[in-house]
Amino acid sequence: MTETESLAKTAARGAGLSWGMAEEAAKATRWLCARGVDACDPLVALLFRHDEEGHAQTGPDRSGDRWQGAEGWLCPIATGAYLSDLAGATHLPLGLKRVALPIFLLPFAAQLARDIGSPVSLIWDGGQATTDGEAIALTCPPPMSDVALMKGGTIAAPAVRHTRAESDQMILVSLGIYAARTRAPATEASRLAGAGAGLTDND
Amino acid sequence: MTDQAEHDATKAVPLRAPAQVMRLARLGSLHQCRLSFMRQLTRRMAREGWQFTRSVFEVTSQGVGHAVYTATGPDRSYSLVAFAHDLPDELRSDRVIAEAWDATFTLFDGVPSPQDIARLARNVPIQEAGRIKESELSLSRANRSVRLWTHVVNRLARGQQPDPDMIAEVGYLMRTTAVYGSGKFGAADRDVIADRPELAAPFQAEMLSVFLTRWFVRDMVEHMARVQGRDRAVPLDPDLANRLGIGNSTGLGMAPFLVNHPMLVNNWVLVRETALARVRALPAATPDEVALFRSLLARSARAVAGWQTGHPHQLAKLASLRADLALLLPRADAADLGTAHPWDRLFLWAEETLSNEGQELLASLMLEPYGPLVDGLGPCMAAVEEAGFRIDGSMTLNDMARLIEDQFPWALGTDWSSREATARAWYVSEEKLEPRLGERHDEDIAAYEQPLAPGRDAAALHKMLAAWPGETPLAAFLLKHPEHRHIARRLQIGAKAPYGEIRDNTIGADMLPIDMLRAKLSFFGATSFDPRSDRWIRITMFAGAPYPPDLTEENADLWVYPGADA
Repeated sequence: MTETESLAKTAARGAGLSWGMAEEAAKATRWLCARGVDACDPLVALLFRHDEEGHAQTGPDRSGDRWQGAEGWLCPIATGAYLSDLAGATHLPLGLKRVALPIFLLPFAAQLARDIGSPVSLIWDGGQATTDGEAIALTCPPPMSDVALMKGGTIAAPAVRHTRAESDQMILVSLGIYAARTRAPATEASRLAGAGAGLTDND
Repeated sequence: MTDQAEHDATKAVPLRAPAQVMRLARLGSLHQCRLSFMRQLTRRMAREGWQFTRSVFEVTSQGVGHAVYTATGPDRSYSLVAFAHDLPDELRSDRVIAEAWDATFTLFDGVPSPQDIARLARNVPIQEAGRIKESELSLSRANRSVRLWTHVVNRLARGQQPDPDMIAEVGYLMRTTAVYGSGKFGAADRDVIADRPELAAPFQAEMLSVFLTRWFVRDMVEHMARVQGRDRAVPLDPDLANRLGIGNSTGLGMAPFLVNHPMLVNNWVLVRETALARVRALPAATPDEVALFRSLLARSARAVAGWQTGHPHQLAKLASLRADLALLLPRADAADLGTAHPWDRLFLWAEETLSNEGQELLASLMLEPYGPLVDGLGPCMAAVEEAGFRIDGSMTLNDMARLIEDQFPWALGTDWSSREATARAWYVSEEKLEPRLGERHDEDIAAYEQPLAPGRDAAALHKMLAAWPGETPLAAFLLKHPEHRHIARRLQIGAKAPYGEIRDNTIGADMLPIDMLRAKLSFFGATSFDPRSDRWIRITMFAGAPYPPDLTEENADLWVYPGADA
């Protein structure tokens, strides 16, 4: 889990998110993985979109109870982080226009649920999600959808907590490719000076 | 109670301020104390009567094979699974980028089955290239000190004991070059073990793995001597064996750790400062307490006399420490340490008189007579870093600016356009993810920079805030400026965890990474700090400690001070 969070953070940074936003993406990934959701797969899709379309990571333009992105779509991490920063001061229901990978709103919705002391639901094309702050119930998260965020909803069976993140090897490799962009290619000079080597290790 | 006595008993001593404690020069002068993680471990295991067994030792005459050492406490067992290898000299490197070692280890949660051992044998010897599971709590490796190893094997094989001077000079037969814990390479996350009392304090699994490793190393050296000398070979004299620690080479990887875990570091320092303030507040000391302090001061002086280093920076600091001791020893002998807030008086004198090294040694020693007052703080040194994660977006920008002015006055007074102020950049190499420190203005590394310069970032945020109305909530600002999100979070953490922030420039031209390394290693309980450059350091761990099977309540704590019987 720690390892997944760390990979997610570095990958998000590699895809162009700010460090602070990459931390949010990583924490959200971990939160979902701890509830048995393979969040690495949608994370790759989200980072691909960021990377392709430039860094549309600034949060939503607000117009009352309708939020939309300046570039025609909303990043769920930037939107979620803003929701989190507002704490309970968000008026529900709230309409979010064209959210990419809206499953990533769920961890932030959970914070909101804890803030207001009531379950919160996300309604999206073809399905929905509900969280009471801890547990989640979830159907068919789409790759892109308008989302309605509202109070209420029920969770039939509380989810089992997972201590290991389960993810397909190819997905992890994809995250690794983004993560690799944060790392400097080695040169002989950096190999010697960068870590302070040069003295013999044998004594 | 008389008025005077009442006044004496209630005197409160404030904690030293973060701005005083969290300077790099002072952090680089810290010494182990009774709250150090190694000593928390040995005290607990002795108190709880832990049992230690070696269940497997299958090592060939070439020194290749494996061994299993199990520690069993009241609720659970933990096993060190050790693999011994035959490593050619030219492959022996302490760098993270090394790919082979003299020995490799994992700490297994429980007692491993033959199937577990077979799986670990495929993965542990290749370290980062392998994969371990949630049943493993650490992954580590060690290299021999070729010089001392050869000497000890040759001597024991001939039926002789090794030269004590050489043991004192090197201090260890093997040194670990990395001990990976929590969640690394598939190992269990901290969350999985954090609620076990024996692992609640920080780094207890890692410390246990090193404690057991030291036992394995003694067995290995005696095994190789028997291979060489057959019937003539003798075991290592227990007294000489006790003097040997496990060496450790620590490089730049630990420096970012200190910056990346502000809540944890805060708790380490806050606990030590709280302990110090409690002792300074005592109105009087008993003769036994004073006697113990004086005796451990004398034993520390012996340790300092034997402290070996070749690095100019540490040599200068050692000279100061020896000069400090030349003042402190007579002062402690002559002064009345019985009454009138003796510890506070002594410490105030030290702050006026001694260098950072001497002050911090004294601070650590003053805690020693006060286990009942101090030791209960040990578990409070753990932290849940996540607790500081969420940003309070309702905070006004005025209040954010005030946080910066409180935490980073030095950074607001720094000219960040000067080359010296931003001379360095922390980055991670492609090669095995080795953390490195480069010269920003000479190398192509700025694009890869890690967020490890809070002072610079806080100053930049402060400048930006000036352009916004002060009553704006932080949430609205971060919506437009996600690039400041990291430092904004950090500043709010700093308000809750004031000892979590280093109060110096971590990318300046004159910054010494070894100061950060020493701070962390001192909390582990390391001694004999020997910097090998400005960015890596050798230490020893558990030197003087009993070996696991010999651990008793009598020897579990003060082993770190040499010459108990001298």
